[in-house]
Amino acid sequence: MMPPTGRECCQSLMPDIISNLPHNVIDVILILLPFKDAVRTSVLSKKWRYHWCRRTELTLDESLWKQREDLNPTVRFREIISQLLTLHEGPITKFTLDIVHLKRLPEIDDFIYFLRNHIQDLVLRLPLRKQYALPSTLFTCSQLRHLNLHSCSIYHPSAFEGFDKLISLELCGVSTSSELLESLISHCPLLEQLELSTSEDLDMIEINAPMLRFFSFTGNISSIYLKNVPRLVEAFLLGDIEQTESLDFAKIFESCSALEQLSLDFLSSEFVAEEGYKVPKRLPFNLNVRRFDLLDISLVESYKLSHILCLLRSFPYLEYLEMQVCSALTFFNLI
Amino acid sequence: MSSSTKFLTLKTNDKEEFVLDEAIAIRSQTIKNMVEDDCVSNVIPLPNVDSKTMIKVIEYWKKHSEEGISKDKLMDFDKAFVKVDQSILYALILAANFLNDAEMLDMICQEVANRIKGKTPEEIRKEFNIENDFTPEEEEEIRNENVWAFE
Repeated sequence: MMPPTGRECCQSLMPDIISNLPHNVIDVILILLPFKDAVRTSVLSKKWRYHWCRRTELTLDESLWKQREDLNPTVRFREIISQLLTLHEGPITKFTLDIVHLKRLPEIDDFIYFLRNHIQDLVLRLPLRKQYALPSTLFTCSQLRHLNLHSCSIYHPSAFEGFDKLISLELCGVSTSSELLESLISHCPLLEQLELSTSEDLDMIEINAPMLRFFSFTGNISSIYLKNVPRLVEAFLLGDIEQTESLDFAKIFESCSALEQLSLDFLSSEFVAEEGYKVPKRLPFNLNVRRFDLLDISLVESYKLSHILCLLRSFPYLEYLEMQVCSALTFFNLI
Repeated sequence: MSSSTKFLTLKTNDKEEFVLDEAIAIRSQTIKNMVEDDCVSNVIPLPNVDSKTMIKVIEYWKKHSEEGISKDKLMDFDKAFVKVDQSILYALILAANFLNDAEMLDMICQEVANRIKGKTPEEIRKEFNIENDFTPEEEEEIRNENVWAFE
């Protein structure tokens, strides 16, 4: 080892204060650093050796390994996960995993098991089209407040007691059943924000969420039934309709007495119906909608337009209407 | 200012006194707790903060309490606020930590994090005068433990 004399004479008068800051302050600094930079502090000095291991928030994404192309990223990923499992101490409350472009699926079951007691905010964006089957341990993460899942599948746990603290839930491209979705949603008593996006053909989903304020749905709109959402203020519905007869806005909006903002986008669906089918003139009740946004609407198609008119007639308090007319590419604003 | 405005007197460890609107002073959770628990007599002692630092803290509190101030203006203010020597930055961190003002602590710690971000361990040691007390073998071992972080 080199004698330290050479180093000392170069040092300024400024003492090393940062290393002696209280641990809670060092933890704040480390959380504000990208994960990689935080881990690198382990080599600064003996005092810094294990500070990063207490970090309560972790983000693992492709920026961690894209620089070395000779190594299989999946192998690299496994290395990092096993490292974390070995060295990390204390709770992890926020974890984001963003690996949508990985070619092969790494195993993350152990890691979810590791997180289960303390995790509050969990984001899993898994490789597209691989549908990783998440372990049932996920449903034992009882501290969850925010859950965001992309491209995976979840199955019905035999004894799911609910997420008592969950406030927001986002499921995007998640394979599941209507039954599980209904059960999941109705077992989150505090749920305020729900975003579902699915290309699967699901049976009718009854949404029972007494605290829900924001709802966004992408998929087959006629499979949605907002059964108990007395506090819902804002809804965004986007999707195709296969059979016009199956679209029943009276059922969809039955319990939406607080709804103030509605966005609808029917995409390019054709709205075919059997002969003699008649769209109702209006809903059997009024809604308090103040703002109505219609995206991609063509003013010539009669069934689609009839449904829109049916809604408009049921919105006596409407203050703002925005229509994006797709054929003529013009915008109408009525304020 | 309305007649109902309450004032608190804060006394720093170098015996300076600062008279401050209570509504502003309770940005400090520590002071807020004292006010709520009714253990405030005339003067609140701040044994861990000196007057030079307290002047900066109050400057920050007042700016962040201004009514109707835009986010952009606050961001500009914060940016200029942390453009100070390390010694002042540390004093502010310790004050924010003692006063328990999480917003201010985060803001200043972000500045420290920015000064660390993207640097090599050697550069960080130099910037913050951290003495490397590892043997080269020990250092090598840690680097091998987390190879991915050092690439």
